[in-house]
Amino acid sequence: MVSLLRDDSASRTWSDWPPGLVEGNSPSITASSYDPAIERTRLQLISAIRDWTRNPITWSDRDDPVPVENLSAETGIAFIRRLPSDRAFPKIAPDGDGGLMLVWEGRERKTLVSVDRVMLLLVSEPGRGNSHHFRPLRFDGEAIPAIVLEHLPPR
Amino acid sequence: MPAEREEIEPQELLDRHVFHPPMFPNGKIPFSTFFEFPSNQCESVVWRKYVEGGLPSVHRMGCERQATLRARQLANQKKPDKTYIGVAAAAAGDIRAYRNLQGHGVAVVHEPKEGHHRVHICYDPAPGVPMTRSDKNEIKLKLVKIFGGLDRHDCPDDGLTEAA
Repeated sequence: MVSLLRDDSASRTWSDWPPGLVEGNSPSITASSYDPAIERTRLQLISAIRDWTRNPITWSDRDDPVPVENLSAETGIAFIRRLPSDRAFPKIAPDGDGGLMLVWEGRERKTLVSVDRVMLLLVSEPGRGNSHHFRPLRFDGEAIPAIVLEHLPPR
Repeated sequence: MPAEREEIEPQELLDRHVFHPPMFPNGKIPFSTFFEFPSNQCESVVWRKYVEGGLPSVHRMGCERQATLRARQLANQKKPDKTYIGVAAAAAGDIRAYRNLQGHGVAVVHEPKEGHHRVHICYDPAPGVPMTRSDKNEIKLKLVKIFGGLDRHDCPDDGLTEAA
């Protein structure tokens, strides 16, 4: 996987849009579907994940929060980059163990994807009586597994 | 003599101190996870029954903790920006009652060695069933729901705000 952790946000300007074309690997952004608001949110999520590898966050009184591991961050960034523009963006948080939590809380559907290095751990309807844990899915940074996309609410 | 653990009745209120919601660049707050259980460590909460003065005193404890943490940040030449923002509360029985479909949940244990008001919330795996990262993160999500909303609190100005 190409490293996506390089912090180039400072040198980027709005005229650089859409982001990701430098790597030439972002089919979620095409001329026909490009929406500046969506891509701005996408970039903010990517920026946050990147930042959490160096500046870990916590809601607790700990003064030594666990940073997101680089490999989990790269996988999370690739996931956000590849998320089709017709799918809702997740809320995101570090999971406290070096991984990431991606959470969708739609009105009709709730989904949790944990990012553990190169693996995606999908749980549908987490915390509910009908929750389902899927087997771990390897994500190569290119195509989000279809079963994951099926469980993400539309935008 | 070591302090003895007490049974925590289901209706007892437990308070989680919550600190500084980190922001995205646009000021939006990422998904709030009050509990992290790093390396499977237990998480500490306050047994309100044993805090004289109730909720206002729980908030005062949060502000005292903020002061301690900011002093440590300053000593380590960091920006003193650790900020206490309030408590999330839940009944012990509601916390214990949740089990995911694999049977995993959390235990609620009095920890008087850290102060008579201290209670630990610890992973409580189902016997013989491995606990995965998915299980752990599902539990963290559920705990945020069980603890519900935040009772917000602003600590008195400590003069460090400008520096922060």
